[in-house]
Amino acid sequence: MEQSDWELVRQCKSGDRQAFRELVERYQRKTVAIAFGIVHDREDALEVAQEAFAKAFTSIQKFKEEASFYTWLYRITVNLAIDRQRQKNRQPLLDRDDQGEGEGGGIEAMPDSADTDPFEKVKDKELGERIREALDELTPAHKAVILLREVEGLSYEEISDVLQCSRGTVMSRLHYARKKLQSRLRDDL
Amino acid sequence: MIACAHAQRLLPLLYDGELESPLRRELSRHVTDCSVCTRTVALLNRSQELLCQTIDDHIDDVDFSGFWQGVEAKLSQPPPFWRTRVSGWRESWLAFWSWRTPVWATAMAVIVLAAVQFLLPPSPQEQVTKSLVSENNQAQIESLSTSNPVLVWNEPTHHATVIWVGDESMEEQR
Ligand SMILES: [Zn+2]
Repeated sequence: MEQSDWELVRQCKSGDRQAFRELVERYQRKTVAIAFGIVHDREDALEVAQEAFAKAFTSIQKFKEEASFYTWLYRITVNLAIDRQRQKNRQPLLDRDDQGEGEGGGIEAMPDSADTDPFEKVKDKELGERIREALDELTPAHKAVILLREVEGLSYEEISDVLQCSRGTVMSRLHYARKKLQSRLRDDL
Repeated sequence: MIACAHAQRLLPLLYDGELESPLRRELSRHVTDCSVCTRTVALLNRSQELLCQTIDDHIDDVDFSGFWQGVEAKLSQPPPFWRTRVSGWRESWLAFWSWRTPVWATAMAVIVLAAVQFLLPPSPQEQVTKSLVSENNQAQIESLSTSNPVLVWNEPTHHATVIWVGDESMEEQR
């Protein structure tokens, strides 16, 4: 039988790394997805997610069990991803352009698949680009809200817990982010 | 009966599963009969689909086989020296003083005040003084801002220009 997050967290608190590994495997994909939605780069997203897990493990004693493990983990992830994005934004434009062309670039670098129709690929690439632009126009806080809701399916209450803001703030940020996304994707909706 | 304009405002809540019955039931009924609201729900659904699809496409491509090893590597890295010092200081400080918010608020207020003082444009008097820096026995006044009367004249015998600003404290001579 699969152990609950709480049981695993309790084992982690007594220093059990294997229990922590199970939590990592449970949440690695979701954590990378959140980080990717904010930093738009696969390598950076992986780095941020690994850092978030490491930070979670080292401060697991501070984790209070009235909250859920994943909202706590997502909070660490969002904060680290926002920091990473800020650092990147401070880099000279030339560096950023170089990175975009490189391995594991931004959202625009769609995965290659031999059996994908070339027309579909171009359409997907353009769509991916528009989504990236729409996300780029949002503040990190707005990005985080829409990702946590639309991609991770968190409730307003959980999002307010992750981002440490009120439910009303979650609602207004979500409304704004959706409008922005819909205006960018007008032709695809 | 729920009005369409009101329904439109509530639709995101319905879509996100944040409404309780009976309002949820009433709104769902309205959506079934209203083409405008049906379209709004379809838009919410489609934009979510597109966002998820884009993120998923990228994450599907990520190789997670070495992910745990990456986490372990980070765990075995010793924290930077400054971080150990700062967190040690922070822990001891918090144990000593539990009113965190006022402490930080006061510290921030002091920093902001100091920054404002530092960043404020200099007063007209300072501007005049600064621009009178001499180099090769010459000086240039780029600007002079004052509400007091200003007098300028040349004194050929001493090769000097005298500027009087109508304030006792602001007399400058070249
Ligand atoms: Zn309606």
